[in-house]
Amino acid sequence: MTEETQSETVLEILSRFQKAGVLQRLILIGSWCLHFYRYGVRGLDGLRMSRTTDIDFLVPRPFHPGRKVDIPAILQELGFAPTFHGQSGLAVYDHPELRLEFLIPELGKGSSGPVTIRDFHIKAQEIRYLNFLAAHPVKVEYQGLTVTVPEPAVFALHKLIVYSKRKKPEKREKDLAAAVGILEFLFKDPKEQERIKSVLKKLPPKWRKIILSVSAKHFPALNKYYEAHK
Amino acid sequence: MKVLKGILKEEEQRLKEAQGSYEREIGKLPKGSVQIKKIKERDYAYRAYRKGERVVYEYVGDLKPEELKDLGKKIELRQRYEEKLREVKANLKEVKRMIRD
Repeated sequence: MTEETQSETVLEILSRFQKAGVLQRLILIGSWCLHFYRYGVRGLDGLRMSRTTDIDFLVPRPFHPGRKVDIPAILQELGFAPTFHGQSGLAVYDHPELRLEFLIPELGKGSSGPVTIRDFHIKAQEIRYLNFLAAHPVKVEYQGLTVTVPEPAVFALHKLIVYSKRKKPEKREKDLAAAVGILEFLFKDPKEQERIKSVLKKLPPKWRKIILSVSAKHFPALNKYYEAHK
Repeated sequence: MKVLKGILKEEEQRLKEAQGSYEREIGKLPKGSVQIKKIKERDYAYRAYRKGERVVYEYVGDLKPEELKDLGKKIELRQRYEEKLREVKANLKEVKRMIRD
């Protein structure tokens, strides 16, 4: 299991998804975004990426599939096997080096089980706060691929929210490292500082409070800038 | 160190689940390979697979070309999954070793 073969597998997935017209409809989230920020976003080329076996795709809401595509069949051809969780039919897709999941923003009180995306033959797991990521997509060009990822500033702020909600220490550490890593780079650019402030300002007060309480301890420059410019 | 161990434990769990998934899927798929034998100018399809020491040739019946293609695809998928299962087992062994050390 090497980083190189893992990257090759990820690129193969993205390439197959792009050919099938699926990649254009989904947003890549999670740690693999850092890879694309490094290569596709100016100023983030020095970003450090910690190793991860998770590759997550966000299904935006409302969702417009555009066409019918059998995603599990594509993943099967790439050697992925479905791993079912519980009786709900929710599947993640496993590979020796990766686990691929489909996630969807949880809105309101949420539904009782996974959300079926009929045209793509998949079920997506509902998770809170993902609409924040879905609302700020950017496109990154990389080796002939056009990958939609959340705007880096939003990715970092979202990680700070998630950090405060996580129970597992290893996940918390990873979230915090990713958030602080990006913020450190973004804060070198006054335009990005201003952008972060404006995103933060538009957030629901509860969310903003969560972010600022985490950053006060782990990235106080954010609180300082926000207080001075709000 | 505690965090690293936590990450490894999580990966161990994932690999165990992946192993179960590959084994389940492999169990659903036919093993062996499709072989065509020409007998008196006619093609007959057999599924060849190993059973202990010997190789069994099982006549697959009078399949239409698309059914034969489908059988070939299933066998190919089984082989792909068997290869991935070997990789999963090797990765699991490595992760277990790292947890132990």
